[in-house]
Amino acid sequence: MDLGVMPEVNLSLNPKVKLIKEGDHGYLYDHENVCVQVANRTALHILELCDDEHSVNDIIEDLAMLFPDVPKSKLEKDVTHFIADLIKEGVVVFS
Amino acid sequence: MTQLKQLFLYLTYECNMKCKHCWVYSDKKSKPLDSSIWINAITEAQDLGLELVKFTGGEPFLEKSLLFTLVDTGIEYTAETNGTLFTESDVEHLSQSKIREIGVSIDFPDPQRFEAFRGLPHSFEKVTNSIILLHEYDIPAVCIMSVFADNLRDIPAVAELVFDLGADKLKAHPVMAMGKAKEFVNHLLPLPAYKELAHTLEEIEEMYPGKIGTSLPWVLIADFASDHLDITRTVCEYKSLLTLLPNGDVSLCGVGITSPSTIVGNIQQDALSDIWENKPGLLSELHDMDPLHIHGICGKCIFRRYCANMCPAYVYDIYGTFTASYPLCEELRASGLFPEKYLV
Repeated sequence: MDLGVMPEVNLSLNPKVKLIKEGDHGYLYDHENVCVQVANRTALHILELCDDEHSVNDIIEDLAMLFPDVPKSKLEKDVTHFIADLIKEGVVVFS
Repeated sequence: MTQLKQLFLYLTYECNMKCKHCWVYSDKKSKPLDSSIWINAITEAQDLGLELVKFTGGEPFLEKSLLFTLVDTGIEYTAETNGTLFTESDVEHLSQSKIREIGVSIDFPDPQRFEAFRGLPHSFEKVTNSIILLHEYDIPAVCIMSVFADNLRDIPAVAELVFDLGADKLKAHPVMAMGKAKEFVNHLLPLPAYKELAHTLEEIEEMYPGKIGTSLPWVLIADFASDHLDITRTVCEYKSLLTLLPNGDVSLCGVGITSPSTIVGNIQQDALSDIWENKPGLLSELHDMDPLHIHGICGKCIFRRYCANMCPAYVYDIYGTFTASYPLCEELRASGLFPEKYLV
């Protein structure tokens, strides 16, 4: 999925999933498939930003502050890919 | 037809130890069946897709001759033992067979408490020597620690001991009040101690990554590091196994020892293939059980695809049905100790 045309649109978690935070990681429960995925620290951070108030660009900016040593172009690429995967799996939707 | 992947073989109920927590009534005398009967059952199971045999008991090495006869048929197998009856030539023999791993019980890091608990003088040295021997002959040794109130804080010391001896894994399983172990109920872990158990496992998992296992439900180890789903977990393949008891009874699991209603035939009269295909008695009920539709708390837990209710046999022993929740999780919830955020 090409997110290039929608970097300013806010994201939210699909109501079919439940995010449960546990220390520095989290669990993403899919109500439809009754399965659980583990989210590591960074994935959890991104998922928490999918709160209806942040766009892809906002998330990239947030992570750029979190990882100042990582080139912006790499961050953009990685975050866009990750969010595209989340949308493809139905975990995240555009608001 | 469902594949019969595993057979649990109880060669005997008898044991040379007198462990207080064991669920098997080891004073139950049993004359071993002729090896030809066991071999016939294994051959039938191979036609049904058998992949692995587990020898257990009682102490399977009390029936060493029978055990070695069966092992020498070329089956792939594991064994659970107290580790006191090996000689080096026995281990050498095992090393030349298709052994996947051997489970050795060890609950304390010192001879005094170990021998007092297991009721067999001088056994600590034998067990530790057995672990060393298994390591020397490249047989994966999985040490099984039965955890209860008196040894909860000994887990790190037991881990250090067994890994120094060359063990490949340590599984720390809380004792369940089943069978004879119901007499041990006052020594079981109190409910608040399960959190301490989980944190202890987390700590030693960091020291020995990939080498720690437990039978705790997922929900109790969910606050482990994010790769905790990789921790060795005992997941019951109850839909693809049968158990053969010392008298030839065929049971759904070892629970047949304490719940006669779970016995579905006897290999002296019945063909294993008939039992597996026709699913008499409770076998049909067990195989039809949908792990995603368990009653009670397990049916609401996000980890239910991975746990179901942990141990249908134990659940049946307690509640008389396979579809009830795991008793520990129900008890934790009733006590306010269950992490409710994992319920949906």
